Amino acid sequence: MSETNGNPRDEVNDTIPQGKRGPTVVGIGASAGGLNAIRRLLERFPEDSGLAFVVVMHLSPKHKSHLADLLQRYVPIPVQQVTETVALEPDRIYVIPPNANLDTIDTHLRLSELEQNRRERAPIDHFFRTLAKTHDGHAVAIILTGTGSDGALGIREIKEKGGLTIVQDPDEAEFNGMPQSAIATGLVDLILPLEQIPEMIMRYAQTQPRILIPDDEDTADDSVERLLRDIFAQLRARTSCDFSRYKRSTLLRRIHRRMQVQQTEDLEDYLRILRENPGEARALADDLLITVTSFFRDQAVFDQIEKEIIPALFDTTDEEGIRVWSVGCATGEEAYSLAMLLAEEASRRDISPQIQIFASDLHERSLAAAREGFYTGAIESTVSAERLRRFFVKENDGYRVRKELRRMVVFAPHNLLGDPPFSHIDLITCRNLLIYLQRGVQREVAELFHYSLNPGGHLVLGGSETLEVGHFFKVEDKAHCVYRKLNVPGPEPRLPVFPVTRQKYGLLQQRAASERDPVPFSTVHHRMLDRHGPASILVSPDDKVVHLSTRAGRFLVHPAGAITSNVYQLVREELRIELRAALGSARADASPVRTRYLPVRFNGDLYEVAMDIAPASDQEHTGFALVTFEERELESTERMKQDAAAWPDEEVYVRELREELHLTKQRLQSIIEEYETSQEEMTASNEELQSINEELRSTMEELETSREELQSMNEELQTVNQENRYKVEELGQMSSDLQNLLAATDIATLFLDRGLRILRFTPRISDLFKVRMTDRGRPILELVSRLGYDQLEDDVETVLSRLTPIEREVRDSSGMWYLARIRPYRSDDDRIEGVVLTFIDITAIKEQEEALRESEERYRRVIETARNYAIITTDVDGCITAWSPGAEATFGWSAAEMIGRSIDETFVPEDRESGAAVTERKTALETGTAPDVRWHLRKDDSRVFVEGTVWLMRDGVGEPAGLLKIGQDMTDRRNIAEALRESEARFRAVADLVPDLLWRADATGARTWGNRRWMTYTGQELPDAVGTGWAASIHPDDRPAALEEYENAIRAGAGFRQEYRIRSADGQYRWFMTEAAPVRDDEGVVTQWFGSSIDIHDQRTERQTLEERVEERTSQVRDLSHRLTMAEQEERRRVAQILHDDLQQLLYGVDMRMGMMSRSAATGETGGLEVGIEETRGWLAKAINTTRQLTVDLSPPLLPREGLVEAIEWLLRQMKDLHGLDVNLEAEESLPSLDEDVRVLIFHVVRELLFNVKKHAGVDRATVHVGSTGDHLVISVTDEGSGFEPPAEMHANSEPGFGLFSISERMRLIGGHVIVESSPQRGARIKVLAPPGSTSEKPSRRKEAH
Amino acid sequence: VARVFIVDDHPVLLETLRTLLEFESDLEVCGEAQSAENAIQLIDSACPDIVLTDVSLPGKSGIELGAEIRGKFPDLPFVMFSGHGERSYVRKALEAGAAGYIFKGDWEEFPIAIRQALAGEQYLSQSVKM
Repeated sequence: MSETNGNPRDEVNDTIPQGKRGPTVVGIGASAGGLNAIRRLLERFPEDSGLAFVVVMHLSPKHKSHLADLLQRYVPIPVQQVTETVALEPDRIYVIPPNANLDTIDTHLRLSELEQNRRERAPIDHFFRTLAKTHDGHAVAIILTGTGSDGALGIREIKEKGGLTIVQDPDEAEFNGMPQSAIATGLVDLILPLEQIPEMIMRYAQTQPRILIPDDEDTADDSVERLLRDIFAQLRARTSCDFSRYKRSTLLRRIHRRMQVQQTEDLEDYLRILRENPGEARALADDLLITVTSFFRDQAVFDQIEKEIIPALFDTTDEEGIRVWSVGCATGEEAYSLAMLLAEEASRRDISPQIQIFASDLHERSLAAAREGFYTGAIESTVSAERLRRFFVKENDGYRVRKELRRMVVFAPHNLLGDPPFSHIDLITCRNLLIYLQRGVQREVAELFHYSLNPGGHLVLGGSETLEVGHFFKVEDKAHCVYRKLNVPGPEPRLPVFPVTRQKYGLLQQRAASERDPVPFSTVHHRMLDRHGPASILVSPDDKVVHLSTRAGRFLVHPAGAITSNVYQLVREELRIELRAALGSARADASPVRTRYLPVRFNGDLYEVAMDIAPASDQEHTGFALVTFEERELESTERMKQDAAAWPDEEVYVRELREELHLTKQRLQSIIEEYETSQEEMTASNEELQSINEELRSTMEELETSREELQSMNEELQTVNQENRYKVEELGQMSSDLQNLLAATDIATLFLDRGLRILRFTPRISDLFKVRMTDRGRPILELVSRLGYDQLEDDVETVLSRLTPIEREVRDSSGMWYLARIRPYRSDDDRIEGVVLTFIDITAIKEQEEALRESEERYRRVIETARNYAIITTDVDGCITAWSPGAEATFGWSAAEMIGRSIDETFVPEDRESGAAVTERKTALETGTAPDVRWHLRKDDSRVFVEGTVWLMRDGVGEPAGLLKIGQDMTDRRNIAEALRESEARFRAVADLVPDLLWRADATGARTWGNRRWMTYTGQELPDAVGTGWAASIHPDDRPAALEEYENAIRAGAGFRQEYRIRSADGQYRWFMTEAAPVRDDEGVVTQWFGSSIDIHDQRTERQTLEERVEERTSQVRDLSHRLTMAEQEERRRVAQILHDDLQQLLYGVDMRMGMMSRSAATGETGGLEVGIEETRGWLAKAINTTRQLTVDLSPPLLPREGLVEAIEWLLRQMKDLHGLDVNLEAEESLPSLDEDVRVLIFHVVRELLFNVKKHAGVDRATVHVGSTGDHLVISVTDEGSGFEPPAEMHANSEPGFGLFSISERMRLIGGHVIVESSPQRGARIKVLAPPGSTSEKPSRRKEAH
Repeated sequence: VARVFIVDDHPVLLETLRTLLEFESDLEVCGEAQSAENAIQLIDSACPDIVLTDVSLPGKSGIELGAEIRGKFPDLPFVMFSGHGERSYVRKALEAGAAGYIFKGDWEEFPIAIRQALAGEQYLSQSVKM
């Protein structure tokens, strides 16, 4: 039985024709993470979906929302932020602002200001409710990501009105709180990922099932009705719920919705789906059973109940207590509301009757929720804070009904139309249920309630429900639909209207099948008997006619009034009395009885009828009886009686009749009594049965309740168990932590109880006591201890009494020291349960202390005995506080004399005056230390040179406590040192004078000193040069080798010599030769190195220059030799050519001419001989001249014998004669004498120079000047010709040289040289200087030649 | 009468050769030149039957002249003479296409060589044959 609540006003909407409806509205609710989800959802809808979207999102009401703008960027459908009333149009998205409530959605969206103190913190719920009110089957509610449970209540109403509810798959949602809450209601049609939602909605919206929903109840199309019957059958079969008596309009609307969900448009198709898909039947049933309810729904009604009905119930309550039945309790809110009111009333009164609330519903899942008694936070809006406190426990996001309230209510699955009702009820609430049922059923239900209620009991119905059976109830409060039972006898308690269940259907089927079987003979026999045998009826034990034979109707007459099957009422009046008596007798005796014939008038004719009553003999049918009618015509008897009446003994006959009448009356009386008795008995047993039934039901309820309790207790136990497990784990963890802590501290720890018995100890304890694990519980004092701790017991007692820890240092037998610490052991609850002893090994500390003491002692002794050191302490002002024996030895004053005096007195007067004493103190105070190296005053006024230091002493907190001066008498040593310093200074002075670079190195080769020359040369300062710094001055190319060699030598300990370049301060490198030798001590161990580096740069460079020059010379000589060879070759060629071209040709010519002349002479032709001979002689003369010229060319003929000037004169003549060069000779008187070779060379040089003039100068005049400078002969050849640019250097083959190079080279070879003075167009002067000859001719002009 | 063109740089030898050849009735000196360049210019107009040229000439040598003559006047034979009797000179002359080679000392052989060359036979001086 469905207990569907609903707002009756909505039923009106059923009549709105589909075509006139607005667009399907898709309501979207989201919270945390919603923007993205909404965007992803909406961007998947086509622009022309025909849907209108309304978006509600949890946003702060204080801020302006930009949701619409944000969405519009992604979503093609126009997005509109609703700020005022707007028309609802398809293909639009409406965003509801956070600071307004959506009031209505019909053709327009209307907003209302958010109430200042809004009770509902659930805008989505509110929105869905609004949507459900106006768009029942055409609303889609979508819940997306979000926290909390908003929307879960709203979808219930959407669903109830036939809308579609969709929830985003919580696995996918960013926050799954809202989706989970919605799913938990069990009212969600679809749980889908975002991506699939749009397509689903589109298909849903496009699916238009072809069902005509009837305007009003009860009437449906025949064909529809037929299909509905099949659907009911399916539902009954699958869910055991019978919906056949539901209003057709409601039914069809739900089916319509399911068809949309299933996307089928034809009812027959849907029926097929229903058949094939068991889940669909469940879904449809769930839809039909959907219930929306809330706490104190319709406040006014509950006010009425609270103020009127409940006090009345308490006033009239009896020992049975108060019994209330909440019909269609759904998720229990109404039942709990009633329970709260009753509990409150009970607490107001002294008496507290037993209160029992039965809450029934058909929907198992709702019942389960009701039993759970957990409600979301949204109930805050309907349940007052006080009631929440009193009746609920706050849990997570919601409230759970407290046990005391829960115990008052029994939830039971119950079918109002099928199951026996509860009885002895004082108040029935059945709200918004009847409206779903067909009118006919309503009447039955009213009768049922009438039966259930105690006299005067109350019935509360829903706001729009009216009860028609006015004679059962009277209206007590019309406005709130409160009725009261009228104490009129109700109809016979009706049998429950059993619907044909599956099992029964099976039986019917079976029966039908058996009828089709071949007819057995027994049946034939029965039928024959039936037709031809006497008429008979079968009477049941309760005197009902259960079967008639064919002709038995003749003996039965239906009385007026209600149809009955009672045999006594049915049988003909004439037979009744006799039958009753006979039947009773037959049953009593269990034997057949036959009545006498009784006159019966059938259609005016008199007959006589006798009845044979045969009780069933078999055990199975005890109480059944067969009544057989036997009739005969009355003709004879009648005639006889008439005859008899005619007879005179009429008197006898009357008497006889009277007697018989009397007898009959008596019998009647007994029968009536018997009847009444049995009637009473039956009433009693019926009542008994009722109460048994009630008991059973209650027991069942109790069992159910206790089962629930057990379940919840089990859960509690599980929770406790879980907690315990956590605690155990925690304890385990703590225990192991503790173990580890103890092990980590490695401290011997002992736990004792108040009686000093061992409770626990760490392993280290065994170092101190002979204790084993089995010793737990033994008093510690019984154990042998290695500790010398006799007062242990006393200490423990002290700790236990004073509760303050005690620490004591104790020593064990092996000399180890321990810090024993005894502390009270406090238990969790702060009780002192014993003591904790810890023994910390402080042997090391002890030893350190001892060592410290010893060291102090030693120190003291050292000070006492250190006579070489003056050790003085003063306060910060210089007042002496301690004066060591060493001080006495140094300064002469004794400690007694000096303590308390100022240390300034030990300073020489000059230092005191200059303030040196004060400065020293000040420095020490500021920097912590100050040197004291100076002459001091002795007691005997002599002076002592003290070298020492003043230290600042600080006290424990770091403040200056005084000054400590430790000094040594260095007077003698100072003298030696000064001598040394002088020696050193002398050495340095010397070393600095040396031009060489001198240096010293320690045994490892690290430089320690360099002389000034080193510094000035390299530019290094001493600190730069020490160590290996000197190497930086070495030329990078030489450095690696130099260092390697250096290190090798140092290692070998042998002196060495190396050459490398050292950089001078100005960056130049000069070559140095470095020599070093080790300085050894007496044992021959090298103590230091001494080295010098000598500048050998010039030597080295000179050597190199020399080598280069030799090289150059060699190359020149080689070159010259080559040239000479070439020149000689050239000369040879020239001579050969002259010989060939001139001389040879002439000679050939002469030969031929002579040959021809000789031939002529032979032939006697002498005519031409003379001419020929003359010609030939000319040729010969020419030839002679040629040879002569050649000879001169090869060696000027004059040279060997004549002087140079003469040779040149000859040359000039030659030049004039042969080459037309007019040369003027200027010769000085005295000329240096020349060697022969030089002379020849000079001659050739002049000749070549003149040839140069002839060939290149372009003039035919020149001047040759022969003179001398010093002992050099100077010859110059001057012309005024074209001149040339004198070459910078004489190069072989350089063109302007005109062989000058060759000349210059040749002159250089003999120690002379050539000077060229010329410039273009200015003529030229070539000067040749020749050295004097070795044979040293007197500078006199030779006269012998020429 | 065969027309002979003489080339020698030395005027004495040129004159002597002309005189020598004037003795021969079947030979006639049709032109002379003192250099190869000059010879090439004159040969065309002198219409010689044969050219007699010294090997050693200033500028272009006689060997080069010979090669040029062979190029320009393929049918014009030429005979070379020289004061050099070395085989290398002879070979070069013959390679250049000379019809004969005469050692200057064997001056009597000039007319013989010319005739033989004109007759299409090669002539080598007695001195260079060995």
